Amino acid sequence: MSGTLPNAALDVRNVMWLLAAMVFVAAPHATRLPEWVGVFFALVVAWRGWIAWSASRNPPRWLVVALTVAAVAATLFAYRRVTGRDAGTTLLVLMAAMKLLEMKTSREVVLAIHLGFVLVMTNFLFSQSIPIAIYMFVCVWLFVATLVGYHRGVGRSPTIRERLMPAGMLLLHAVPLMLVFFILFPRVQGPLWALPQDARAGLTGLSDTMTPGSVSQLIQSEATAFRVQFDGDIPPFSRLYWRGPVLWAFDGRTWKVPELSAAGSMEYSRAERPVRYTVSVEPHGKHWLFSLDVPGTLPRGAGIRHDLQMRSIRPVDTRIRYEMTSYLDYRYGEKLPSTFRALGLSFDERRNPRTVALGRQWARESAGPAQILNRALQLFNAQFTYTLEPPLLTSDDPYDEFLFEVKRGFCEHYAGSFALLMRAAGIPARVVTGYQGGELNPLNRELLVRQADAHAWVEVWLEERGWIRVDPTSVVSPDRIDSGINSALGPIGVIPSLIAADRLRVLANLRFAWDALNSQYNQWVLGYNVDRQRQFLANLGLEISDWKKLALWLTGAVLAVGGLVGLALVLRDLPSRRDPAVVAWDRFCAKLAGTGIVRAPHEGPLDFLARVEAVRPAVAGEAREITGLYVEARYGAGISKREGRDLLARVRRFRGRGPFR
Amino acid sequence: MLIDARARLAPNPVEDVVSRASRVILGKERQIRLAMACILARGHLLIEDVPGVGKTTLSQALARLLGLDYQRIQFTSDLLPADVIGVSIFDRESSTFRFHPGPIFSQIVLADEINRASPKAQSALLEAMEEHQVTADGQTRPLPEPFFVIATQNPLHQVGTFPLPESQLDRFLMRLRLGYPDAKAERELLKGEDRRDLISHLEPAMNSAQLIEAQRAATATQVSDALLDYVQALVAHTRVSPKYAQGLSPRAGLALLRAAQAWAMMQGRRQVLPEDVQAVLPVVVGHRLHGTGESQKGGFDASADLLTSVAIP
Repeated sequence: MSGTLPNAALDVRNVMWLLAAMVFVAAPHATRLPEWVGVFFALVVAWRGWIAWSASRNPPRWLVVALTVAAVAATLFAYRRVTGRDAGTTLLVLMAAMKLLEMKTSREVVLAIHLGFVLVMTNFLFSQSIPIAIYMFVCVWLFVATLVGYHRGVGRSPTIRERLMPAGMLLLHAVPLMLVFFILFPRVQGPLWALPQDARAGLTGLSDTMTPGSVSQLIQSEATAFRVQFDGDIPPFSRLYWRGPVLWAFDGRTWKVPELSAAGSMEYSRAERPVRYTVSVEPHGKHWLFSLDVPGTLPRGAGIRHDLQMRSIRPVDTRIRYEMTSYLDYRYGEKLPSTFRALGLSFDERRNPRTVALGRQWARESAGPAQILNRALQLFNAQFTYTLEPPLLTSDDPYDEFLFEVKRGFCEHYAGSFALLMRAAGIPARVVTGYQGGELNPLNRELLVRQADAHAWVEVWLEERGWIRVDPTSVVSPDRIDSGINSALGPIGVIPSLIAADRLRVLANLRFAWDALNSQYNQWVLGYNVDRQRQFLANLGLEISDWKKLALWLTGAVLAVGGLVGLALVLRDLPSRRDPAVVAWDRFCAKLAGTGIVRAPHEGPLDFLARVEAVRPAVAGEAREITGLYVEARYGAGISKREGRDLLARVRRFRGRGPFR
Repeated sequence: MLIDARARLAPNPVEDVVSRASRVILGKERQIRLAMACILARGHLLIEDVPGVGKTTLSQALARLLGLDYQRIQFTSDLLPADVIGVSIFDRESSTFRFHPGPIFSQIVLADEINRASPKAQSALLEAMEEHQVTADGQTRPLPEPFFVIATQNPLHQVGTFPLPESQLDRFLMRLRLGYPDAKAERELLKGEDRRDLISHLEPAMNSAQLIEAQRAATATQVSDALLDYVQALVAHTRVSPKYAQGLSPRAGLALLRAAQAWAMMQGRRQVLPEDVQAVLPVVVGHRLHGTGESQKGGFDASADLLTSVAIP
């Protein structure tokens, strides 16, 4: 802009392309980073656009430096650091904007484009969903198209088509290499580089505590909790209790996972009809894994506690997938150690006095635990209603308030108060949280369990029976258990109400198809880990045991595929079959060029011959013969094979300086 | 074997025309040859130059030497289309309108100073050139065969001219520029006879049957794929290079090929070579190709530039 020399790189249209691509790639960050970052970025881009448009000078160096310092300072002020996902991305976005302002030479333009590619990567730190992946592909395409424009040189600016088509072709050529890298690049167990801590913020899922109202918040979320693929028949919905955290500790309001960590045994006295299935859990940042009661096997890298809660050794930060076997008909925990018995009966005497009194009253009046259970269930059945929006329980005795005044509630109210009643009546009880049911995708027969399916139920311990599951919610709202949360509550939110209006089930089928696609994507793209890789390569017949071998294979495959693509490109650009006359003629011209008579690219054969005759009469005769044959072969009716051989032989014998030198 | 065929083919009426015309228009053999090639390629010829360099003389000489009947139309600003095409006049004896054909009804029409006439009169001629027929009073009348227009025009910046629009320029196969004679030719011209007398004494060197035969021979010259590659490369270059305001049309590409064929035949060759294309390229492309605003500065010659920037495949 500042010089007088025409600079292709800083041609207005090229700059506009770069700016547009930058805006495009940074746009998804607008919702993730603080507002001021977006405003700063937009202002700088607009400024740079104006500079290009009006052909004015870039801002002076001191101003750029000052702005850069200010940007770093603002980042530090906002995050108290410049590392970590959010702060790092903020800094990168700001610096990319500053680079645009600084851009003067072609080299800096190319640098800015490469910064754009880095910005593409930062987007994947936030989301790796299919739409983002497609969007980022478009971004890469735009940047490559920008690069194509810069390499076109001075003159008429290439049209949109002339930019996008070659860029698209370049990317297509890169696809085989991309696949090779994806398939063969050594995966590391667990995340290759630890994602910054803040990347895990905002994961939804069950927590290790339960207070009245905590589960119903989850019900608002349509997010996927996990997906299940069954081997064989799918058990009835009413039996799909996905076991999560087991809560024993109770302080009068909150149920908690206890500090105990005794390992559990998985010996069940009556274990028949195993159900086999594969679970793909979305990251939730906690340790627990989900299974149907009761688990018969353990996934790799997981343990089980005495209360049958499966825990992964590493927090579930990435999507993981494990195979499970469960026994739905079981008997377990018939012998209850005294410490667990004490824990299963403990409660704070001073809290919820009316509930405690009721439990004790039942214990006095009833003949046995079965009768106590029945009285409690009858109570819920007769007087209580199921609602997603229960009034807030504000008193210090929330379960008293719920049982005797409000009488409307959600699963955690029923489970919590039920367990407390049992404990008061002398029956060991605990609250189990997890998910109940799920939605079956008819397209891939996969069960999708959403956060909305979160549930809480109770386990009580009976002499000679062991722990048995009691779901007090099922007596209040049987629909909740038999056919899922949506039928119990009616549609929640915009999308489900659209689905309710969708008579032809078009939307529902679309949603199922989308979910099936997502599931495949999660499984094969995002979930392509060490095990998957080994399994996939084994299917291809490659037994690759360690990453060093894998790296060798990768190098070999990259060279092979790159070579093949390169060769294909070279072959495409060669004339399909070179005319032997042209080969001979080129050789003839090369021989003469070696002696100083160079044929100009646009010089015709006769003109060239005339020049040769004039400059070097010694070779005139032979040159005439060769030219004559060449002209006849190339522009005339063609020459016979014998004449062709003659032409080649003559060219071979031909000496540019004449026969006697 | 190919190169000296010209000598072997002589005497030949085409060469005869060229050599005799060269005796009238001195020192302009190349232009005469190009004009002849234009006629052999059945194209119309536009001769553009300042007054007094022999435009009219050349066209008159060619017309006489080709043995065709010719008429001359001097274009002026008050020329009417009827002056070109002809007019129907009421005949009292037969009580009918009789069509009096205009000067266009001849084998060679010399349209002198075509850009001095109004666009209306120009278009009457140019339509006849394209369609080889004339429509007057609702009746379509074919023009004789062969039919050529040799038009002359003054350079556009001269006073009192109506420049031909580009679409009409495209109808001329070639645009020739004669240029001043060199010193030797000029001296001879000054010493020699009056040019008009010379022309009036010219005898035809060929007849129309021979001309049609020569035209047929021109279209029969061999055009190889390699040559078509070259022509296409030339045309394609004008369309992608930023130096030209507008690429060459398919019609221009065809004109280039036809002219090159005629030129090759006149060189005594059976096949067209890249040199033939290059020889006719400046006169075929010159009036069709223009540089962009930027590249036009500093005496940019679009056709010369095109010629050197495309390699022969």
